[in-house]
Amino acid sequence: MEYFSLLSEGFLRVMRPDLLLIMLAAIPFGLIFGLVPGLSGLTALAILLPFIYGMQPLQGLALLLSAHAVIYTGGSVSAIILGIPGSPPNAATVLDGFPMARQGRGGEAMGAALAASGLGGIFGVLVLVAILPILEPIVLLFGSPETFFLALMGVAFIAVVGEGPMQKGLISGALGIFLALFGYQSVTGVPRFWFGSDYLLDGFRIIPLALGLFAIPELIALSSKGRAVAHDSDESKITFAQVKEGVWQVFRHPALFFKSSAIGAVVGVVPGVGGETSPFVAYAAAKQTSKHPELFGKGSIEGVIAPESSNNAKEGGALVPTLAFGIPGSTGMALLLGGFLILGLEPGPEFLKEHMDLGVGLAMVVAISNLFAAAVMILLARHIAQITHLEGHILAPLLLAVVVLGTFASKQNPMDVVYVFVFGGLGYILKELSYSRAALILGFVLTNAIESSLHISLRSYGWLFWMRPVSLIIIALLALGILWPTVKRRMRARKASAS
Amino acid sequence: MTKRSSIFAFALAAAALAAGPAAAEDAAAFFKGKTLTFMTPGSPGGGYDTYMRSIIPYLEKKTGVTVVPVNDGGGGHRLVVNKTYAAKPDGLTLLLTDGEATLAGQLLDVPGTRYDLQKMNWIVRANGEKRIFLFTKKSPYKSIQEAKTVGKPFKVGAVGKTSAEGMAAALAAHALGLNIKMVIGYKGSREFVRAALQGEVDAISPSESSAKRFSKGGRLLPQLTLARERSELFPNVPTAFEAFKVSKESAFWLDFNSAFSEVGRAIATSPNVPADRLAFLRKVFTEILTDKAFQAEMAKKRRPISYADHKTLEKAVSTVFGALNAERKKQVQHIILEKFY
Amino acid sequence: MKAFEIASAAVLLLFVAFIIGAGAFFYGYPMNVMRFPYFVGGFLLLMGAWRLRGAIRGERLEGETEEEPTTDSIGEFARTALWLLLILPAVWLLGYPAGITAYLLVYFLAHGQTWLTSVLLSAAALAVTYFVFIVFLRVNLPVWPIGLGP
Repeated sequence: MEYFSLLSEGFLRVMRPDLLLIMLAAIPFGLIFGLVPGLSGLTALAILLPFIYGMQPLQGLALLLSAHAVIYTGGSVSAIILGIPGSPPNAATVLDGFPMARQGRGGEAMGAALAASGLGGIFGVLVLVAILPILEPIVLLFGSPETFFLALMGVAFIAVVGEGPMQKGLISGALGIFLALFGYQSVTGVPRFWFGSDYLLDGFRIIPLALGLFAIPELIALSSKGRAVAHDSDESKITFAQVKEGVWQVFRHPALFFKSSAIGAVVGVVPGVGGETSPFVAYAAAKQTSKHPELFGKGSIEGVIAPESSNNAKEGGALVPTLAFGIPGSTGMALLLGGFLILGLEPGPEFLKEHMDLGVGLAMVVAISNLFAAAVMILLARHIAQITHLEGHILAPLLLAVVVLGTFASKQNPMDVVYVFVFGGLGYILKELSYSRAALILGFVLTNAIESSLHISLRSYGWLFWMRPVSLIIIALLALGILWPTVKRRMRARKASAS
Repeated sequence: MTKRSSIFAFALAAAALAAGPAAAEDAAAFFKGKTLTFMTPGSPGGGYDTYMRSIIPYLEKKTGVTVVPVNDGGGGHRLVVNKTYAAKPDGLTLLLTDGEATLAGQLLDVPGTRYDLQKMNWIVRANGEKRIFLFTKKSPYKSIQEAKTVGKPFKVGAVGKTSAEGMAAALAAHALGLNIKMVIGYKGSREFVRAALQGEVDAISPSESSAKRFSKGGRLLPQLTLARERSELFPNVPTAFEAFKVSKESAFWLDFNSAFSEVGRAIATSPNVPADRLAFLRKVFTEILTDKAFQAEMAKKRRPISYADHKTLEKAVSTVFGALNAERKKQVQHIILEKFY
Repeated sequence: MKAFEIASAAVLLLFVAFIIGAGAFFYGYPMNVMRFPYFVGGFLLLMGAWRLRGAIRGERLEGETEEEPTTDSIGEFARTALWLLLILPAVWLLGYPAGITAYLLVYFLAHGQTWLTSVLLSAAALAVTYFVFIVFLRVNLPVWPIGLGP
């Protein structure tokens, strides 16, 4: 029962007017940055960081955490409404969320995504608090070999199971990895394939790539015929009833929700990889175990619930190594860590022994922010979803302006804006030919982790680096995940021939 | 500039002319109301960023500039140095740099390095730390002497070949005759600390403040201080000179290593900035960094200040480049880039 | 579509081969640098060749999404793409605030919106550009047209 007393103490600790006010201010901020394509959630955190100087620890951390916790909630909205993921982890939501929007079911998709996000976030927190006392041994189980296999698993899953044929998915994933090889490389200190261009010294950038791949093709679609996103639907209005229906769908799929959230929480614990990989793993697991896998990619509500519940659950998971070790579980957590130090705190094993209550308080901040953000967005969903009925010739140029501004704002480099269009061309081709863009993005994002962790694993442990218990488990899950449908078919066939 | 500050500047300039040579006042007037770009290689929330952002409000108050902070760790922390070096020589581009990476870039002819540190205008140093060599509890050796005697290789973790801790480990190992195997590819110091705790590597060489943080609870065992004097944070840890009999050749390498960290986190601006503006900037930053209250504030954030003026920095830079003839330079490149890989 | 499939597979093969070739021969990167690119590049070349073969034979893959193409003809695609690309010279020549506003105005008017709608929306965009990006986010957007400004 200590678990529940911890939770209730943490909850009461957070129920202070100043903290609630701070969260109230930070949440819309995080939502907007997550939502608007071109503005990255990390930029939001970077902007908030100077404000925490001089604040009390819980206040400053509440500001950062509550903004951060809801970024993916906001990102799911643009993934569904515009087909443009607010941040890379939301790319899995595009796969089914956007087709739903095109069918005029954008309200339902949003309802499901928001409810899944909010509840998933709370689930992640519950898991976090449960394992808080034994954080250290858990985090220490995941070393470089485990990081390598997890990263590989993420790419392999989405390549095999994501949109489009498997062969094309694998090509996309590999191409994403290949593009990430350009530029300065940490392992050898040599910049590869930079052809003397300063821009390419660090390789291609994620924001022009992500926006180019996802936004430009949608802009072409909107602008070519001037039709709205939801041009396939007969209705022209989104009703609150539809949004509510979406929310209820989450409750109608409890097994799916818990499974996806669990995947998020667990995978999120692994530093460096968890953040990007978990929604794709959740999506793949959902598709492989669904009764209607053929609906995935065409607007299946399960394809929306799975990645979104895991997306927010993983943030609770990512908080784990951050608090336990001061090792950030994701890029957002790295910023948060900076916040800790600025406030004079020092996350690490000693930290939790002295400040367990603060740790739980932070977990509660995440939970409450998730709930609040989901509730607010659900109320606004109907209106936001109306964007899907906005005429293409109005939406397209405005969106283009936002994309251009957001891209420039990310690194203040005008070349980035040019590259949005270069990758836009690539994205258009990939979309037309059914190559999975999500696989490309994921491959791109994870290459550093893949190459570095492989290099380290080989150097530290030699060729047998995979013979570790956790690595073997991951490899087994990877194989199982990909082969599950075949296994199911064989088992069914055997049962049929036996009877 | 706004109309009001233009008039103010004009009046000030007139007064200055009347009062006699007072170039500093011209410089002060120049900065008022301008936009200044302050660049750093660290990402938001990290060490460099915290130093920069803590300084910015003081800088703005003392000079009237509006500071635009820029975080860009690209090119191994060297892209921002390129940008500063090539910026307009008006004193409105400042850089808080990773001293070691910056030196390494020029020293080792790393591709994409487009600056000459001997021409950069150094302003002050915010922080320069000694490096501590730490063993992990799981390492095969109990002490560094044992490691040297037994002679079998042990693994040292670092971010990259030309990262500060990587170079420190390589140079120290060469100087002391240690048989190490560098394991690089970790994304940051916290990553290789995690690896150390897991036993993935046997030793690491972080800065003294990081070492202090991570060795709490006895998980990591400090072995050596890589400098001529002991660290204040580790008064019981011997220096390399105390723990081993150090030949002149070895001393050369150990001192060379120290010169690198002498530069540390330093603030600089582009070459050819007018002398009066440079002097003004140096004065302002010295005031900020030597203020006791500011130092205490930074200590609370676990980001200590160890101030040094521009002369110290220039000396350290010329020590590094001056010490090397072609023969030595080849040796340095071999030690840092090849020997332990 | 078939031509498109074949062409894309061919371009992929050429691109990967070119980059790998540049790394191996022109720049002469050592093995430890090229090890991973060889691995990934090799995989891509294999898969690309397999795909090219399949495309030439007109094979249908399991899992192809049967959606209508986004644009009906090359002409429509070119026209759409050019309209979108127009924003680049606009912001380069006129700076971002003016460029975006001008671009939007021209786009809206050329695509059948009323003067009122066009002006209102463009003005709103200008406001957002200025207040959100320049003032609030302090982004160093190039504000002046080329050749003008301090």
